[in-house]
Amino acid sequence: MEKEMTNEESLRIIEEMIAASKTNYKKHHGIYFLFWGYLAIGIILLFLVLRNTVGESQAHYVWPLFFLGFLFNFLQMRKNGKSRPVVTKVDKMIGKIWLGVSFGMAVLFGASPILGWKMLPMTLLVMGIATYTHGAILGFKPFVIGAFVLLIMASVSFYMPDINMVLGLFVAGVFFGYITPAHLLRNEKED
Amino acid sequence: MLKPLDPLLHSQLRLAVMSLLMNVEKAEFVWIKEKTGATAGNLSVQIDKLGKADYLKVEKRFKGKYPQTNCSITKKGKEAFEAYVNNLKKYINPSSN
Repeated sequence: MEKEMTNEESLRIIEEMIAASKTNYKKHHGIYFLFWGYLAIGIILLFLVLRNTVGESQAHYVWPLFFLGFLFNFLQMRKNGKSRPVVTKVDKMIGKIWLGVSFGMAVLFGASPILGWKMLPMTLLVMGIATYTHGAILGFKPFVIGAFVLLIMASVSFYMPDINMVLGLFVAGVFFGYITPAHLLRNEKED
Repeated sequence: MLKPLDPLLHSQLRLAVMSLLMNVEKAEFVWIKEKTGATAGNLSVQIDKLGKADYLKVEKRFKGKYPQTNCSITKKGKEAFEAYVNNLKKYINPSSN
């Protein structure tokens, strides 16, 4: 038979369990940033190769390869949902934010043949906004700093007259603003 | 007049489980067991009771060769928990009625 519980004990249990449910489990967020970051740099390199072989107008057709990122997101989120011991409300919130960003990025990539190289600073801008939001919600400062790196690179890129400079800023932005914080997160000690 | 506390929630382990799950989207049995410090057998019985009352959604599947149980709180469970907490406050501080 269960021991009779006083009202004060009930309140204590509720408070203890609320405190216990606050988990700092966030390392799994890093993998999305790493995949997208290296995918972006890989696509840029492919663009450069194609530009020097088949010409720039044809090379712009590489941008829809970013859809591979959406496929990865979908598969990874499904896997995470099954393998993680707990799915927090923060996870759900962040998932919805990136879903919204994905819709916006899909529109951007769809318009890539029209936008041409201007798609790159616009992509950095969207990545910067999403990374800032993600870092702020997670309370992970390197993401917030990384977001400002992306936004600065985006701002400068819009004024660059030469596509090579835009490409260089894009790669630097992704590496320092996206990939580096993700590696820091993966190396962080979990609770 | 004070309403009686929900007997399904006015139990140490069941209250602990509901309090935990109020703050997460879903959690594995193993995680709940770790946080509550309960034995597997007792926890299984209490989760079963909460599931039958439709306070929890309990999903059982296999992760490779091993069984995995995931729990999440239902809308009915959230409402019951909130009602329980509101009633509890009135018991603890009757002057606030």
